[in-house]
Amino acid sequence: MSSLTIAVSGINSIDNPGAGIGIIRSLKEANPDFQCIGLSYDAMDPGLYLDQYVDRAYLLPYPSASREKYLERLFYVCEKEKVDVIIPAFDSELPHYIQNRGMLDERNIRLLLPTRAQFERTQKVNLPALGERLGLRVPVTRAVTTLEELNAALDFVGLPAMIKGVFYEAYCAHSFFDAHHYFHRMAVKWGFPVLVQQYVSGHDFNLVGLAGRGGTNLGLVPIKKLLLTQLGKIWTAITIDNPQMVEVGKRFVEETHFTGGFELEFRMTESEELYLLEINPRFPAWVYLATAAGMNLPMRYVSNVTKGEYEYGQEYEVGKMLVRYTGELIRDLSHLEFITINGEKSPPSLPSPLEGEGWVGGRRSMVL
Amino acid sequence: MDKRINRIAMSENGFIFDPQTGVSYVTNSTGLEILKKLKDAKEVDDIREHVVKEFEVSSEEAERDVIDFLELLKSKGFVE
Repeated sequence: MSSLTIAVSGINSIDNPGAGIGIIRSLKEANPDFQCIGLSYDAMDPGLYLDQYVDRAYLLPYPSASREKYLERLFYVCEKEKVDVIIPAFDSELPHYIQNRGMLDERNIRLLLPTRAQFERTQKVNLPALGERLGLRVPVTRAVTTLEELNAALDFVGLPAMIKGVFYEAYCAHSFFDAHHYFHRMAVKWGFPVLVQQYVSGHDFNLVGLAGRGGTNLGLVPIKKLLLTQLGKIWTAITIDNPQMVEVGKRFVEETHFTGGFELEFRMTESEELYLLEINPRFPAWVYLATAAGMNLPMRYVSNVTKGEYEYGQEYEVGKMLVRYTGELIRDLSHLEFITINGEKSPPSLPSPLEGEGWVGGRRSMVL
Repeated sequence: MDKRINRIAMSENGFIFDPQTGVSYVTNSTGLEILKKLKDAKEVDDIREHVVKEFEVSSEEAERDVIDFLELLKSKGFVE
């Protein structure tokens, strides 16, 4: 398996991070010879500058901008790099992969993908129905498209209420004024409908899982969120031993036959009632915590699609902490120039504009 | 020409960096040639002639390109 080339998206390790770097870190730990190719959408994605993880990387057009251009670029990268496996890390990519599964199979590119129906069942608007099938409470949710509907929904669920974008982002509104403000913001950013959800107070928990083809459970790890960013993203978390959450994860896979990485988001009230808040149909940004706790789900993904392995243990270490931190990479302008012009990650070493040939006007300081 | 044009750093690939504002741009080869000439304090007529020779285009087409590009540079505050 030493020569495998694996393409991974979500290498945007920013304040709202994708899972890409956690996935690649897990893969490199399992096998340092894996060639990890980053699929990026922004010349300033930190993954494009993280030489210790990302071997090579390419800029792609957003899948929402042009399906044809996206696929053309993706297949160019796959052919050039002889990609064996893809691990998509963004929800918005999945419909394109699902729709073009045949073209990926023809090129012998392996990946774990849900069907369209399985994917749809994980979407926010379909959560109440799925929660019921899993025997879980789901906060009362209304999909709204007008201010009249928003007001009616707020009357129904009460305040405070969560105002959510149809794909991403959620804000807690404490007043009608807040709710109207967030409604407009979510509508502009993510389109309609905007979701209005009952606010349930309690503690936040997540579960990462992986399901192989046919809905086979390949591993589940629950965590408690200890510290969140303002966007509600995990900053500090710890693995826990919670049989109820693991059982829900198993039921989710059995009930939906979902295939691929996934994340379930829970809230537990003071009276220990468990609510299902969200399902994400891909690995979460904190997936490396499961790896560090002994369950390398990205590696299991690769083993499953390349060798058909299905038998894994459910053991992991309880009490492992993930502590996210901020750090700075320093790079010369030449790297941004290389990525912008070539649409590819730059080599680790490039001369600075002050020393490099082909630069005009580089200077050491503006004011001397 | 305004001296602000002199402060920008350009790569042969058409990547442009304004070290005062930190903003970067990308231009095509015509834009790059025009910028180089502006940095050399050449006048519009000289630049047009250079574009005619360099890209084998008519004088009218070259003039249009140079003037359009100068308008763009003006809108970005690089020239007055």
